[in-house]
Formats: sequence, C-alpha cells, structure tokens
Amino acid sequence: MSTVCVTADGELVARAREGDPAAFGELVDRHRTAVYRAARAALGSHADAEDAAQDAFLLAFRRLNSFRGDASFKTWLLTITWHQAINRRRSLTRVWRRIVEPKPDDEAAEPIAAAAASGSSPEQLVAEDQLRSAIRAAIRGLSPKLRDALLLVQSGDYTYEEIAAMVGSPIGTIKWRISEARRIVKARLREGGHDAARR
Amino acid sequence: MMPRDDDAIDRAVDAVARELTSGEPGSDFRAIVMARIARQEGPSSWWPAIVGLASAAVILAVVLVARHDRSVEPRQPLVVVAPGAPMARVGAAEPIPPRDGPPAPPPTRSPGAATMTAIEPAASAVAALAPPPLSVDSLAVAPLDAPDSIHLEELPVPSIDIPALPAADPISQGEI
Repeated sequence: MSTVCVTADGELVARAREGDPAAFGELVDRHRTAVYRAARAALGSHADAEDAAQDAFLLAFRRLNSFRGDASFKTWLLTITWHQAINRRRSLTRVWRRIVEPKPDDEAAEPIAAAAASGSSPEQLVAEDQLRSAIRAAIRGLSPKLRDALLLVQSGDYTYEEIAAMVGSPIGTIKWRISEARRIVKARLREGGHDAARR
Repeated sequence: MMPRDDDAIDRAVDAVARELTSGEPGSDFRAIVMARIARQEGPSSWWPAIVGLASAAVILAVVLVARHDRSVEPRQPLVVVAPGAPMARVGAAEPIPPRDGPPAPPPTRSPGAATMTAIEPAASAVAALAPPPLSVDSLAVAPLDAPDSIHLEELPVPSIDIPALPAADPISQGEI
C-alpha cells in the first residue's frame, strides 16, 4: 500500500515565493477547475471563463507575497478569480460583443444520446429538453447576485464560506439568495406552463 | 419526463445550474499560465485600455471647455473673506505697463490682506488643466509727446492816433 504525500498549499506558496515555478505550477493544477468554474458561473462562456481563470492565476502569482494565510489559499485565489470575472463581465467590450455577436453556444447540446439511452420516449425527450431550456432561460433572467449564488453553490466546488468570501457577502445572505433564486425560477416555470400540475 | 412534484423541479433546476458551470479548462492550461508568467504578461483585458482612453477623452473635453469658457468671459475666482477682514482683489489683472513710458503704479493692497481667506472654486482644478497663457505683446500705446506750445508772436501794429477834431460851434457860424 502506497501513501500519497500531498504537499499543503501553504508549503507550495512558500516555495513559489522563493522562486520555485514548479510549486506554483502545482497550485495551478490543483485549483484550475475550481477557478475555471467560478469564472464560468460569472461569465457563462467557456472562452471568457478560461481567459479570466488565466488572468486570476497571473494576478495571484504577482500578489503571492500579499497572501497572509488568514484564509486558505483556495479561498484567497477564488476571491481574486471572482473579482477578475466580475470586472470582465462589466467590461464594455464584453457588452459590445453581446450586442453584435450571437449568443455563445454554452447552451451545450443536450446529451441526446444519454437521454435516449435512458429509454425515454421521444415525447419525453422533447419535454425534458423544453424544460431544461426553460430553466436555463429562467436562471439567466435572474438578477446577477441571485444567479451567481445559485450557480456557485450548484457547481459543487465551493463551500458556503468560500462563496461568501468570494462575493463579499455573509453566509446568511448567500443562503437567502439561493432560496430566492430557486423560488423565482420555479415561479417562472409555472408561468410558462412547466409546472407539476401539467402532465 | 415532466416533474411530478416540487422536489423534482428543484432537482431539475439544480441539474441545469450544474450544467451551466460544468467543464474544465483546456489540458494546456497550466502551460499557458506558466508561459504568461515567464513573459510577465498582464491580465488579458481591454478594460484598462478602455479606461485609459476614456480618461484621456474626458481630460481633453475638460480642457476644451475650459478654453472656451475663458474666451467667452473673464473668470473671477471666488473669494471668501473672514469677517472684518479688509477686502482686496485676489488675482486682479495687473495693469499693463506702457511700452516706453513710466512704469504703472502697482495695484493698491490694503494692509492686512494676508488675513484674507480665498476659496478657489472647483473650477480651479479645470483652470489647472488649461494650457499656459500665451505671451502677447502689450497693446498699450505710448503716450504722445507733449505738443509744442502754440506761441504767437505779437505783431507790431502801429498805433493809429487820430487827432481830435476842433470843436465846432454851429450857432456861431450862422448855419441854422
């Protein structure tokens, strides 16, 4: 039986500060998914999320000396990521691109094959597809704060404490936003006829 | 399959929310980040450039407006004087000295002007952005030389003495 020795983030940070690039590279590998998904929650687009994630790591490298260890490295890194993503979301160029370019294909193609493999009838597949589209539209129609909270918690990569630190709000506020977001989405589904009353 | 209860809708909402944040960065993500660090690149964003351009445009607009205002009317800076303090004009234009004449007297300042408190309006920040004043030759006209006095010489006019006529007695001469 072999034991895997995982170097703590703090030790990697210390080595990176001393000029060990491999140590920072290890941190990049360790947290790239969490950073990417946080950016994706804010930006929606895969390309924007990757750019923002890269920028976040660059900024974190430059500010490595300012990391005091009050919070975990992951939380500190995610806070930087969130700020980068929000800045990018507010950028004029992004607004312009949304006006002149068609919506990105982040409305990923439905896993038709997987749905078909479940044995659902074609009518059921169509109904499920319509429901997913309606939910997606309802989530995108939420206010940014409610949508961010819902997406971050549903990604499964962050604790409530991490989310609260990222967005700069108390945990109670985060939980309220998630609850409110779900309520609004369900209300919109009902308005659109996608409720449990219809069979 | 249509949701049969509220929990099912919640599950559907959660599933879609997870889809919206799913995915991974590319396999070369670490290499790209480390390469950018090695090149000491900055964050890839147009935002700083846009902010810089916007700031430059705002400054330019402010300078143009300030120039226009100065050409329209003379600016009088606001002066707030402490109660009881003697008044004096701050920033009053210096009298333009004549080109070739005696120097103009300095503007009179009442004693105690140092106690005055002047508050520049916010426009002084705009004035600070204005370009330096142009150096223009004075338009003062040199005073004319004192004209020569008009002195007329007295013309020699001979006196005209008219001898008195002898007194004549018309009665004694029998002419009545």
